[in-house]
Amino acid sequence: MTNYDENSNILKQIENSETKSLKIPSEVEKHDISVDELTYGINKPKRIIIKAKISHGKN
Amino acid sequence: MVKIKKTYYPKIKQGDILRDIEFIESISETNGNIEISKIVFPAVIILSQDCDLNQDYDYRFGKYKGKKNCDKHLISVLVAPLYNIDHFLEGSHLELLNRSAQSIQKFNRKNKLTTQFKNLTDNEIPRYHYINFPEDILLVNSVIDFKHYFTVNVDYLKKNKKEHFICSVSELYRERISQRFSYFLGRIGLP
Repeated sequence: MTNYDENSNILKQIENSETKSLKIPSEVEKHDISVDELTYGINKPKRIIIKAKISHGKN
Repeated sequence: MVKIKKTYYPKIKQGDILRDIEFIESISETNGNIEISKIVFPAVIILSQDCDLNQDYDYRFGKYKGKKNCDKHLISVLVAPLYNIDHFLEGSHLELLNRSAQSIQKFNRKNKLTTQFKNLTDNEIPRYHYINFPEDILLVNSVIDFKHYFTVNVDYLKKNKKEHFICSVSELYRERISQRFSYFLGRIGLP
């Protein structure tokens, strides 16, 4: 009779599978957002675009 | 002039005005490259009905938390942006989004307030709601554009409310806003 160790089995599955991690690149295109405003609502709505690359690698 | 409450409550309430709220425009992925486009609105007002917000809070975080039945949980909260009145009158309030809008003249040639401006500030135009904030509230006089309503994830709002809370419109005034919003959404346009 074998004891099923759920944790070790899950870890083995992760080790054997291709892992995908999301890495945020150092360069991110964005507009400056002023957080410390003396009066709110002064600014206009702004668009921010974030680019990231999924890296593939085995742990 | 609208009446404002400055007290912060953890519960999201109708009439709450929050700063720097994000709206996710699009997310795309191509060959492992992800691109997220989002708009950050300097100020938005919560428009969802308070009873719905109360129930969501009670069942999600409050006295009924842990109940299996998630019937009362909201998916998202309805909000609308507030635009700086000066930018709005110029028609430039959306220029950073590459959108231009109609401009509204404040004064006519005789240096009197125009009918269009008075209609706006008297809230005679169904699409817009003008808010004249008291001087002790650090918020510029603004116009809500009901047409630009969008929804925000409940958890996101709850997590960010404390840091992003500006003030809350008092009951009677927020009910007027809610009523006008409902009327605008339910309007019937005849040809």
